Amino acid sequence: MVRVEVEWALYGKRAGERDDYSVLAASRGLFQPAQFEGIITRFSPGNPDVPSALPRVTFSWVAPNDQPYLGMAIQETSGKKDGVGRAITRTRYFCLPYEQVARHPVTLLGLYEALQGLEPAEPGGAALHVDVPELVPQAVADDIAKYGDHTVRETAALLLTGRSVCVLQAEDVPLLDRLRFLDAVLGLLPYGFRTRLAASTWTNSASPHRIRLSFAKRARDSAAAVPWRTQKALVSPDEAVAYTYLKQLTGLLEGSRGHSGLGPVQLVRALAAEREPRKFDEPQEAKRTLLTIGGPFTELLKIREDAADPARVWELFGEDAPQIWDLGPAERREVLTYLIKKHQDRQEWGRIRRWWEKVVGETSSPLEEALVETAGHRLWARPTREVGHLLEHARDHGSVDRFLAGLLDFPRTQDALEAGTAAMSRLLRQEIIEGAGPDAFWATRDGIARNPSVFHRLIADLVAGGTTEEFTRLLDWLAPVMPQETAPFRSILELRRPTPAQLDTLEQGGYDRVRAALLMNRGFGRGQNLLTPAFERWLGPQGPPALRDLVLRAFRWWLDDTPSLGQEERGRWIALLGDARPHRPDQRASIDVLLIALGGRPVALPHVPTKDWPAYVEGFEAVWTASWTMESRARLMEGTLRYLSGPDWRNHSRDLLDVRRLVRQLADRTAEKIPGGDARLRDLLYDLDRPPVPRAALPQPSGPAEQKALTDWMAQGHGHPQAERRPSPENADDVLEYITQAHLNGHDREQVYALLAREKRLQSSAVALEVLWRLRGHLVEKTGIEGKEAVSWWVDLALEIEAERFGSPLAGHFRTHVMVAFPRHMLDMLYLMELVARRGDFDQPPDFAAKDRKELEELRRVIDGLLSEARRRGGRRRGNRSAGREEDARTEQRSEEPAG
Amino acid sequence: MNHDDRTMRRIGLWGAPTSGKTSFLAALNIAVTQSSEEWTIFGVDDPSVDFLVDSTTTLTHERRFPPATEALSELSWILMSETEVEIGTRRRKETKKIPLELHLDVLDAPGRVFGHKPKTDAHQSQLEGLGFDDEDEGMDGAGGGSELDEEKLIDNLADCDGIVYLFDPIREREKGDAFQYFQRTLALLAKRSLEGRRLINGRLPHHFAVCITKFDEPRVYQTAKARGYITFDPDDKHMFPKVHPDNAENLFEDLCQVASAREAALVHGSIKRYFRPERVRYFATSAVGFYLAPRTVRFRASDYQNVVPDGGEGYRIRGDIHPINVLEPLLWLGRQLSSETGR
Repeated sequence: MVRVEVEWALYGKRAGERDDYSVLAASRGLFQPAQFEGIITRFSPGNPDVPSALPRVTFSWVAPNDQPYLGMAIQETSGKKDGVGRAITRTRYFCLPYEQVARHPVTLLGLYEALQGLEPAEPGGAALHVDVPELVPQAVADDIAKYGDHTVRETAALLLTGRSVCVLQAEDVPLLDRLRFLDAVLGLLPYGFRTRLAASTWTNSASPHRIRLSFAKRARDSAAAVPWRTQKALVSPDEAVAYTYLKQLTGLLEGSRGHSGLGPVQLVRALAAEREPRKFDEPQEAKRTLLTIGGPFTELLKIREDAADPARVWELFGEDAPQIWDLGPAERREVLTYLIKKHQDRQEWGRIRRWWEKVVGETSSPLEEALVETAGHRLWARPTREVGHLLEHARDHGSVDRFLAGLLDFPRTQDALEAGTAAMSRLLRQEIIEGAGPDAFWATRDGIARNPSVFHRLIADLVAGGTTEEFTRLLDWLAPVMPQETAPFRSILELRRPTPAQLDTLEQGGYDRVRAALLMNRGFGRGQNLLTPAFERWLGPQGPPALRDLVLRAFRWWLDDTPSLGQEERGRWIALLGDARPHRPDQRASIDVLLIALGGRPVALPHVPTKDWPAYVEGFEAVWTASWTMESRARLMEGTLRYLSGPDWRNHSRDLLDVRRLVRQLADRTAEKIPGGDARLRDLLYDLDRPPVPRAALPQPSGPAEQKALTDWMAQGHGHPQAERRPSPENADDVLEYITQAHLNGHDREQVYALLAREKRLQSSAVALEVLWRLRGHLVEKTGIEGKEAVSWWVDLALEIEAERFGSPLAGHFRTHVMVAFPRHMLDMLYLMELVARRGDFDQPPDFAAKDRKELEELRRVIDGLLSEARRRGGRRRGNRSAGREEDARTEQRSEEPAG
Repeated sequence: MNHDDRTMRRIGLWGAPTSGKTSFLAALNIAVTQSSEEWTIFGVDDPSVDFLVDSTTTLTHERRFPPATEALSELSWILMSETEVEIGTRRRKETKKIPLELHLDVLDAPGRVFGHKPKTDAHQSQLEGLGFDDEDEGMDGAGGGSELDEEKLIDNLADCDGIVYLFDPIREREKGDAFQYFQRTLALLAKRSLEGRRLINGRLPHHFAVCITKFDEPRVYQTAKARGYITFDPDDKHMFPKVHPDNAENLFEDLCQVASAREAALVHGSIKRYFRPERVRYFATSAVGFYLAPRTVRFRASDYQNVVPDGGEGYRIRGDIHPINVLEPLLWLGRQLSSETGR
């Protein structure tokens, strides 16, 4: 019991009077009669509109000087009539400081039962003292069950929406039951909300009242209606705070997934202890309170909603009085499982391990599952995350086999499988192949059988560093569960050719299996045992494109590994490759490169359609620039240069630009990989610009002996006898730097170029051209000379080259290139100008600025000048020839005329 | 000119405690049913429907008056019928029937709200010191509290097109406080109308139906009879006495004269001063009407009291309910407002 002091007021009418309702009497204390009237009318629940409205109890609040007070108005019929014969109701209003019932919580029912018997009448009388029974959590919990915990929970949560709440269809519910229901609802809210609560056992919806929670015949439009004992869900997910609160309440009251929660008694007790005054316009405070009260149960709820914070969860395992023990065994495992999944480092893992034995109890399997799941996520989804410590733990508990088997079953998507296979394979190799050995890892073995891609990866990984014994052990171990899958690998290992059935098995296993087999074949087998049937089966147009790539790659490996190949065998492979006519241009390019590497000629290059040429070039470059041994690379280079220098592809109408594109791409990629290695290709590039020498123009062998000599000569890599061989060009950067330094050292142009020629620093026409392109800008930038002077340097260098100061071969090439390549280059540039001027739309007239027109007109003037001068020169020659012929004719005529 | 008047008109209710506001509303349903004109009444919301049903039951079945109003009630009904309006020019007028809808938006307030005494500063600070903040202001139109009730009431009246003012001559005779319950509301209403620029030549724009209630009360009936204001409607089979509309104001004046404090005359004067004469009309009304004995059809002057003591402290209604001039003020207001639209 708690003793409280209450102030009071009596509100009603005097019998027989025509006056309205007013305060008829009041205690002498903190509140004046006018204040009592203000409070009572403010929280008026409206006119009683049904017989069962009265008697009614209205609970309210007031806060003079911010000190909260609780009020209770008990309204009933008085049995008297007013001046017009209408029944008078009377209201006894009681008011007590909240402070008195904060430490000793009370219920509305308790308050009503304590106050109901009081009959204050003397105006100005003293405050009254009364004993109020304290709140009994069990009783409130019983009422929650009695009136339907669903209804009670929903009603409590609805109070946090800001709307008023009306309980409907309860006209026949007696007053005391209504009060108990209100107590049950309030029992699920922090006690401090009572300092702002207005509740009533009956309100009239026709009156715009301020009662938050009441029973009524109808709910006002914006009020929340709660049908009595409803099972309907009333709180909308849109009402976020209330909805979350409801879920939390439910979780704490009932638990979930068959687990226990806090329970109603404990919850009511805990909420009754939350005495801090609260306001309904800050509902999130209720949510926070519930989270705090819930302790481990709240954390468990958050874990289940995937909204927990690991740091907060760890607080449950505090050193002093860990709260984790408030949870049942299943819940404890659930919490630890969560921490296993979320742990970041070994230190945290150490803590988990310390709690493992205490928490696990007799049932370790849920935690083991968590272990596997955590390891699985790290291994498969984020393969850079370490799982070693988890494996260690499994080892300590003798459960490595289960652990590995669980990991093998983990990947649930193709992406995860692809991401983690390598890591899984490493783990298996470490634990089974290199470690204890496969004996007794039966669950893991079954896991591999379910996950054959891991087996393929394991094979591929073992090729790099494994031994024949390890392979044998692996195959022996897996054979009982994967007899078909292991058979081809055993054949390879035993240097036998796989049977057709085994080849079927390889093909059925897809890319990974075939790859593993080819790798194994390379490392441990006899190359031709698998390559020959692979060629026959998968290289032709009918073969799966992905496997064709693999086979070609495998052949490249084999070719690289087999430097000395006999002529006969070389010819056989050339024939096999030549017969393979895949549709894909990149694969045809791969074959062409392999043919060149074998010493043969490409078969596809002259005939690839223009639309496929880019793909062909990509494929050619990919294989050409792959990792070859030095010897293979040299052969490839020689063969490529020889072929592309020759006339064969030209005779098949392969476009020069296409081939140039190929050579340029090869040169660029080679330069990236082998500095200086692109030089010969760049030379070839410029050679390609020379007009081709028609075959008919070449000296033809006159007989079989000469033909053989020519063939032998070409087979030695000399190309055509008339093909010129170039020395390795110097670097344009070096030449430019030389010129710059020489100028800075005080030499003039003539001296610099004389030095350049004497020291033979400019031998290559390619370099010479590049130097000319860059000279002007380079000099201006590096030496600070003016543009006009830079032009003089440029002109002089060109004159020196033309004057054969750097040698006639250079001059010859230079002239050829300039006369052939430059006009084409100028046309290309003009095309770009036109494109820009027409803004990309060739139906539009070109738009040139005045300056641009001037430039073009200058260009035309120069070209016209050159051409007209060339024409004049040609005309004089023709004129001289015809003049000569006329003179000859006249001379002849004169000689035939008679003398005399 | 559009004569189809379906415009919603708002009509307010005003009267001192015990003036009969709730009873007036309670009798409305019966008055509509008994009217010779074809009217129908509909509740706009459930509480309004409940009020109609419950109050009819209270009056007719339980034969008692509704309980005193303790708190503000928001009620809303729609009256539907047809009305005749005169259209045309001065030379050629004709009447036309147009549909009529009257939206009766009523705040049935406790009488004390109309006579709400102005607070002293001390009083004001006492109420402010109670710590009531705006926390629950947004809670679905929360009301409650005398100040807010008064504010709501004035807002309601100011927005109305027509007002029914109930004058209780019995109360006035006994307490003489009619003006006390009139003047403050009138002043606030005038202020609100001034702020809203609704005054017409310095007068309130409202159409004002003054209803002298409790016409069935002997003191009221006898006064009217003595003054010669009584008349009868030949179409009324019960031949209930009525006060001719032309005499109702005179009756009002006479009743003011016999009031104890004579302040009622101020009410009359205020009405004449603040409302446009052509927009004011007087009615003698009775929510329950005169007694008609079970086997009689016609009114009997020798036995007409329908409200009698119940043997205790209260009163009971003897016979059936025959409201007098309960519907008519509303119809007059409706027609006034419709004609105004038609002009």
